[in-house]
Amino acid sequence: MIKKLKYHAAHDLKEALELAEQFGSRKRFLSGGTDVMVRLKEGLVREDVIVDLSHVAELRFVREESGVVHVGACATHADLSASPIVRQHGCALALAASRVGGTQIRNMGTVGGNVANASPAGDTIPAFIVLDAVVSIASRTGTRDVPIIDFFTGPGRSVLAAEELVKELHFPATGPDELTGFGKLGARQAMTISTANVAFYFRIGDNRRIVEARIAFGSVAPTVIRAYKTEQMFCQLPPLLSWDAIRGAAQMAWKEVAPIDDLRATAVYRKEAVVGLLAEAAYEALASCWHER
Amino acid sequence: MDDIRFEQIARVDAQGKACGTTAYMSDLSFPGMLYAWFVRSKYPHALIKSVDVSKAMVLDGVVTVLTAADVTGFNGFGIVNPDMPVICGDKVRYMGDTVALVAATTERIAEQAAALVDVDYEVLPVVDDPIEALKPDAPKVHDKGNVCLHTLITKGDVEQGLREADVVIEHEYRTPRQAHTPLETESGVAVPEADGSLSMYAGSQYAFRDQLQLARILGMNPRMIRVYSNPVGGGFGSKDELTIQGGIALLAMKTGKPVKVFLSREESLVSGWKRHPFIIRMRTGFKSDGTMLANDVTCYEDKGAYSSLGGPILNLALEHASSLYRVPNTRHEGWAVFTNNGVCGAMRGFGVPQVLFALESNMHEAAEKLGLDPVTIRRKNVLHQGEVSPIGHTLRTGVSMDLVLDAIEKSNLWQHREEYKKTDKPWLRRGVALALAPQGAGLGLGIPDYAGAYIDLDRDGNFTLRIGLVEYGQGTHTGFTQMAAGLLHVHPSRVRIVAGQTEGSVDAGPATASRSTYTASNAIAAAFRDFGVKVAGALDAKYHTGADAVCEAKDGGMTTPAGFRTYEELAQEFSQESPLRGEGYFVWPTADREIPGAAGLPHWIYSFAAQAALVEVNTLTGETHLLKVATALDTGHTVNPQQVEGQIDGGVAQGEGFALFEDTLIAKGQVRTKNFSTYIIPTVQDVPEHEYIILENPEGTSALGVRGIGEVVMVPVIPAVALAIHDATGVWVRHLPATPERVYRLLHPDVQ
Repeated sequence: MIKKLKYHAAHDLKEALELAEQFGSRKRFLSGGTDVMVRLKEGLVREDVIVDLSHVAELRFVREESGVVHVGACATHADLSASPIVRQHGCALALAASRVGGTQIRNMGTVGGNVANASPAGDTIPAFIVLDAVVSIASRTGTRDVPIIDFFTGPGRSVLAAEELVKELHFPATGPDELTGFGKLGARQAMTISTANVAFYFRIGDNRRIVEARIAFGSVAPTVIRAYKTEQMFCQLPPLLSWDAIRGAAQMAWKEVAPIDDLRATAVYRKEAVVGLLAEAAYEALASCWHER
Repeated sequence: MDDIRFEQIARVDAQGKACGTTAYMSDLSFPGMLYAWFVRSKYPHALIKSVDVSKAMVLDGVVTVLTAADVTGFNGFGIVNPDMPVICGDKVRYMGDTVALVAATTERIAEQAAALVDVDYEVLPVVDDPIEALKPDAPKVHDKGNVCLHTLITKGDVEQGLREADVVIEHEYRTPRQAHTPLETESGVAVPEADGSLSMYAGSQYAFRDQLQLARILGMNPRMIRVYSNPVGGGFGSKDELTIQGGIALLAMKTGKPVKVFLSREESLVSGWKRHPFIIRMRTGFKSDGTMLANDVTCYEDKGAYSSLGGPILNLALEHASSLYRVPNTRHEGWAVFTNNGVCGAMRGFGVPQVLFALESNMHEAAEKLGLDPVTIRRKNVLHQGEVSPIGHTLRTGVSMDLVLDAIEKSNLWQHREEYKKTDKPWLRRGVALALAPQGAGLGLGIPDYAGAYIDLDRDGNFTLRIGLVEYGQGTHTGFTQMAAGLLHVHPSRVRIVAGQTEGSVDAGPATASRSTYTASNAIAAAFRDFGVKVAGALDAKYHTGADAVCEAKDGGMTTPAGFRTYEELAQEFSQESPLRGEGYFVWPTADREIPGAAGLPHWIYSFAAQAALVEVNTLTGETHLLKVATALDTGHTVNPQQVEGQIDGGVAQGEGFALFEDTLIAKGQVRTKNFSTYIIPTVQDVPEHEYIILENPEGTSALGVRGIGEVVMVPVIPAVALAIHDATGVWVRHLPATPERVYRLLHPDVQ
């Protein structure tokens, strides 16, 4: 049974921030509703006020300005996966967004919600992390920027204060020498919560060497995490495409994740599978990259 | 009648369903309608010390709250043994058990009131494993113990057969607790009428049996209960047994108001019927040339809390435990065992998918050990018409095991399997395998398997076909329309169907057991023959044309001794006061003797299919994708090719779910997979490409040559997928579903 709630629809950012301040921790933001509605039904929403952001048109955008891609909090997953800007300058994010839920969920669910929910299984989060994204947080008194890697404090928890909302995320547009990708392991092809997911960023130097790498895993720790040692391994790779070498580098991921058992999979399996998930996604991306050059 | 032509038409229910105008029973509303809430048990196994409804009763908007003491008739239901209480009075046996019923002016108030019902429980230990439940000191689910049914069927000397075998394959197999997941969950409206009677509007698979069960629960003359059960928003067996009907009937009779309920998906997955999980221990012996010598099978069926059809399902499984292969020595033993693991009942396949997964796997392994290919070993062992089955009855009707096997061997997928198996990704492996299945159709021996049908010539010269069998998505009503139209020589648009209601349609048995199309073919043909007799009789009465004259359908009318008459002319002459009616009745042919110790066995008519599957396994993660399935199926005589393909598509998806995704996980009696984010069914992105091979070997006992195919199309695909994983990777999957983690662990046995 859905409990009785007060409902306020914000019509612009200013009104949203006023409502946020007015109701503070009593309120819960709703944008696409793909998460909040499910939680409401399950009786998991403790707040008693809903502030609906879905009419705040100024938060729904994707644009590139001076080499930085800006994604508004109310951009939907469908917006991201279809955006030529994101596909070109933040490919991992477009891929991640395209693997969220199913078509209906991608049409409704927003990136702000995916990030602010702070689920360790959120699909766009590892992509934002490897793209070195910054979360712009707004309140009635101003705006502050937090690097996304510092945004999450635990499962379902973030640095977001009660009167704040995620306004946008922005990240440096990737260039032709930068390769990003995403991989997801779930129970089926679509409509599935990640058993594990991975995003990566490689900057390719001369002689096809990876000179900079960022790798992030989801659903294998209390928050989405960076795999720094694995990144180092990828930077040591020889400049030729070798499945064994890539798999060998990915093996380090086993050491960097701290999963738990849940209904979707055991911790032991997750630790094993993330290695393969990374190896597969990285190999596919590097192979197509070498092929194009 | 062999030359009957089936006019191909769009599904008769397509437009209404595609446009959303079809009114399912769950769509209905009535003035003054109340909403029911089923107060479910808090524990999977407990004694009820007391139930206090006083707080719930006084909530504003609550009209009544019922407990076991308020059941006016017999407080129980169940097709075979009515051991499931409508409202539990002294004990609960699973989380879906009902301890009280609320009717209120809104659904919300009803739910709030449910939370106010105070039940004092004495918690009992949970029994959640069928093998544990058989031990003498196990907690007892029912007073009489935990054995719902024990069956032993033997032929020859199985131990001697196994001793003589050159190779014996012995394994234990486990199968999932599959949920039916129809789009329309358990739902309906009970409407008390001014004359003291009751109308029940609830989608179900057999209105006439619902009527009797409701009469028993209410303590009412069945004639005072009308059931409307068509159309159904999906069933797959879950609406064969009663679900919510007893509860809303009691509330409606008590309050004098219509009462509606529509279960949420979560409540449906906790309380609803499921497929029985089986643990199967099977030892199969072969000679070095592949000839089967013996099969020793023990099945443990996790019955859940109440009987429903668990006994017949166990027996159908045992009937099929050696398929229709030539096995001289068999021992098929089965235990249907009560546990606190939800409730299990009828589901498409009815025990056959479980045992054939085991048997076809043993068969495949034997072939591999003996250096035979999977087609050769099966061909060597398949039975033909006239031979004796593994459980000892002679197969009198058509047997197409060899025909579907030949056809699957010639399929594109099988012929080109080596090309299909190629992949350029080092971590991917592809495999192809095939399997073969018969599926006994109809209710079996000893259960009267009866059908009636009326063909009414209406005033305007069109026809109404009255038959009980409901449409729950299979496409049968399109087929029935085509059959009647083909016999009558009219366009199908001139035939309408009234089905699934105790008044206005005719009892034709349940829409289950692959029986609808076959049954209807004979009942409709009989009604058509009688219609000709009635026309001749009417003409004779008026024109003295002779009572024995023969009337034949032709071009929108009939040739009669009084000359050709269009149906409009006949209607004008004979159907103005009441319709000229052809009545047809049909009783299934059955075996002349029962298999000793096995109620309901043997079946008399079988369906046949062979399927091949192409899978791709990701060795890094264990993910398995079903890419392509070929189906060779004997329809007897295809009524509607599009509906046959539809049944194959749906059956393959449901088989794929069984093989790869679906399982209702229950821990200590608590369902952990309560919605579609955790109970995983295939989406459109997961289902494979199809290759259809339709054979038509007329079934001699059908007036129109047809066979039922609704169940068998989901059976061989299950072992085919498991064996394709073996072909791809070398591992044997013996516990389904083959989830990514399960496959990964098979590939990496060192992982703890």
